[in-house]
Parts: sequence; structure tokens; C-alpha cells
Amino acid sequence: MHTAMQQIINGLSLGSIYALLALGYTMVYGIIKLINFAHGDVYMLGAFWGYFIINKYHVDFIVALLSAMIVTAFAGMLIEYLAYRPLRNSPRITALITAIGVSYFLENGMSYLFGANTRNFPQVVQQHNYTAFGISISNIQLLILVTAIILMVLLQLIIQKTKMGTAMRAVAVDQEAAALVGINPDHVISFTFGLGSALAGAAGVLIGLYYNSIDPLMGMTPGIKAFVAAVVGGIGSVPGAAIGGFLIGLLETGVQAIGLSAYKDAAVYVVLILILIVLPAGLLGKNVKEKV
Amino acid sequence: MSSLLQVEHVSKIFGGLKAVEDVSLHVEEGELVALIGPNGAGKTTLFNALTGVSPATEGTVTFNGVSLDKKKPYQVAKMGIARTFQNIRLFHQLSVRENLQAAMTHRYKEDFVSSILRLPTFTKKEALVNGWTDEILAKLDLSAVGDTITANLPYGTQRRVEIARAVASDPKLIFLDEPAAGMNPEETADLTALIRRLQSEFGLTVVLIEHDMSLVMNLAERIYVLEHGKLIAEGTPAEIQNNDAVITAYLGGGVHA
Repeated sequence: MHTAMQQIINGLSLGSIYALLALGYTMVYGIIKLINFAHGDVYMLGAFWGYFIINKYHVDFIVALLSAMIVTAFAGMLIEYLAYRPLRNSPRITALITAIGVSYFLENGMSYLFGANTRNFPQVVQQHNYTAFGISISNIQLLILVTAIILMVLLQLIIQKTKMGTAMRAVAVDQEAAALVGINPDHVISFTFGLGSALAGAAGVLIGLYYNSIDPLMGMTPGIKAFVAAVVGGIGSVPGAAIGGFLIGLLETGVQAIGLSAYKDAAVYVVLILILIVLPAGLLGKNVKEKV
Repeated sequence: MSSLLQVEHVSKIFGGLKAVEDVSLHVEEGELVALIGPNGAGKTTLFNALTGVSPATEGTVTFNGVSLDKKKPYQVAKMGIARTFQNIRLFHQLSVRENLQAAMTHRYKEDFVSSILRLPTFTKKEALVNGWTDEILAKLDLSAVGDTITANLPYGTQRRVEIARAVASDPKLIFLDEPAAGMNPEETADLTALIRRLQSEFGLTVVLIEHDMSLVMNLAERIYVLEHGKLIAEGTPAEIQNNDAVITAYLGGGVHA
């Protein structure tokens, strides 16, 4: 029982990282029907920014987190502007392949500029463990969980309550009709990339604190897992992505807990295959017919 | 005095096909003008050219004294041109209110921080937008369905919501693309009354594409007739009904042995 509770806590911490990442995938997909495979690398950029600014300027956690979110938001908007916007009217497969290209560019660009070696993320928050009823939770786990939940609530407020959120939801349904009521789709798409990338940047700093190590390829596997989380939740659905993220986190720690650590990645991919067979629209996805 | 909408020598060419050829027309402020013609005459293509969706190949369009050349659809919308579509294109997963509010985003400024933190300026802005929404809903008899997801509404009501959304963008001129398509006689009668009110109560200039001739003859002050991309006639409903070229276009030319 204790072990199960312990694993749930570990799973939720890891899951909130996946959830933050999955939100970016699902928002971008919702709005321009692109699987942004470079999203995991934006998370890596966030972690590297956190590493840089903490080591260089000795800032605290909040400053590192917020500045990483701002930097990755701009990185995301820049990627959209340079790589995807010129392909807006091209077939979707063209943009998809470009996304893979951007991903390789960021991974190898960072390796080239700063070296491919793994480095220790500065521990800007001293780790403490709290134990109650035999269950241990670290302050870093709490920090991850609380930060992720605050960011998700903010995201929900932005989407539901602001004018940009209304515009995002309108563009997601019908870009042309939205333009014809005075919404500039370019602004909305750019904003969506910024928002999703800021969440990825936050996830990058959080994972740096949690796992203590970062490297230029760190975005690959979590990126794919977060993509699976978005698909499980129903790609295009914002609450779905959050739920999918937590589920994947729980699944991964669960598989580790029963002694199958070597298969934790495989388990996630098995879930992807099963979901695609049984419930292709995901848990909260709408089974929308393709527009002809 | 110049016209509200001035279209001069507009052509739209797709590959070798001239969908719209050398069309010149004008719409005065406050007018209710209809554009008719057989299927495939280029009516919707002309609408698309005028709203920046698919810009004209040649010719100039001036709205309110400003050229619309190279204006993107959202810029055209901000200048005060709204439209509805032949096949309804609402934001289906959103409620009626949200559909209208999506059309209002260019009508007010928003300070992001105050929206997130729900500061007083945000509450004030929210009250303003809700006020606009309530007013349009009430005027178009949609108050009862304000919170309904538009996909769940009956067809006739969806058409009405689409018109309401166009009104919500605060236009001077509204293009209606076959608003009566698929409507039963009762709904068409309601629609006729509604279009009249757009002109009288909302002070809008209306340009209408429609196949329902009773509706057109009933409503329009002036009619343009398009056939094979060219304007073949212009006049009052009475003039158009007696125009030989129009009768030929609709009923086919006389067969001569």
C-alpha cells in the first residue's frame, strides 16, 4: 500500500512534466494540425537556459523558471515564423518533415555550440524529504506539482477568459472564418506557439531540478512520450493533454515499481499502439471528420 | 460623393478560366443590393475577391474611400466588411455567445495581465463585451440559445447565428451568401424580415447573393445579374424581371431553326 502511494506521488511528479509538454503539442495541433516534433527540443532549450542563468547570475528558482519561459516562448515563435509559416499552405506532410528537421537542427546545433556532454543542473533548491505515514515526498516533487498545476490553471484562464483565448478557439475551428471576423490568424498561431513553448521551457527547468542532469538530446524521449500523452488524452484537447500526461507519468513509474524498469519506455509505446487501435480519438478527443 | 463600395473592372482568373470578368459595380451606403445569376456564374468568387479571401487578379476595389488591394481578410473585416457563407461556417464547438465574442476581438483593447489577474479593468471590459453580446442576441431573438453550442442548434437558427456573428464584428457592409439556402418557407419569411432589420435597425449596407427570387424581388432595391463571370444587367427588381438578357440567362436562349 505504501509502495503504491509512493509510486503514485512519483508518477504524478513525472506526469506533470509530461502534461506541461503535452499541452504544447495539443495546442499547436489544435490550431494548425501540425505535430510539432521540435517541441521536445524547446524543452531542452528551457533546461539549458535555466542551467546558464543559474550558473552565471546565481538567480533563484522563480527567476530561472520565468526567464526560461520567456526565452522559450520567443524560441517557439521564432521557429514558427522561420520554419512553419512559409509552409502554411503546403501539404501537412511537408510541415511534419520540417518539424523533424527543426528537431535535429536544435539537437545538433546545441551539441555543436555547447558540447554533447551531460552536465549537472545547478541545485538552486536544496532538496528536503518530508515523510508522513511512511510515504516520502521531496520539496522538489511538491514544487514540480504545484508549479505545473498553477501553470495549467493559468493556461485554462487564458484560453477561456481572454480575448486571445477566444481567438485561439475560433482559429482552431475555422481559420478562414476567423479571419473574416477580424482575427489575424498569424498573430494567434504565433501566440499559440509562444504559449506552448513557455510551458515546455518551464518543464525543462523543472526536470533539471528533478533529475539533476541535462544534455542536448534530453528532449527526444520525453518529447515522444508527451506526444503519446497528447494522443492518449485526445490530440487537440487541452484537458485531455493534462490527463494524458499524468497517466503516462503514472504508467511509467508503475512499470518501474513492478520491476520492469527496462521496459518503461516500451510500456508507453504499447499504450500508444493500443489507444490508436481501440480509441483513436483519445480519451477526450472528438472524432471529427476531416474537412474535404 | 463616392460609393461605399466601388468595384472597378475586377477579374478573377483561375488558370485559363475567367471566373469573374471585368465586373464593375457600386454599392451606396445604406443600400440593399442583390447579386443574382445561374449556378457557377461567379457570384461567390466575386465575394471572395471582395473580402480578400482569394484576391482579384485584376481591377480595383475601394471601400469607404480606401483601396482593398492586397488587404488580408482580417484587415478587410476590421475595415467594416462582414460576410456569411453559403455553407454555414460557425465555430461549431463554441457557444453562440462565444461565436459572437470571437467576432468582437478587434473592437476592444485588452491588457493581458489584468485579464489573468481579473483586475477591475478586466471586469469593466468583460461587462462591455457582454453588453454588446446581449444586445445583439436580444435584437436577433437569440437570447434563449446564448449558451448553446452552435453545432446543436437547428439549421435555420445556425444561419441566424452566422448573421449575428457578422453583425458582432461591427461592420458597415455585410455580404450574405445565399442566406435562404435550405430554409423552409417559414424560415425564409423570418429571414426576409431579419435582413430588412439589418438595414433599418443596424444601419447596415447589405449585399445579398440569393437564388430564391421571391426573396430577392421582395427585398432588393437594386439587382446585379452575373452570368459566366460577366455582368449582364443591372436595375430595379421590376427592370430585371423584364430584362431579355436575364430571362435568356435563366431560361435558356430561344431555339431558332
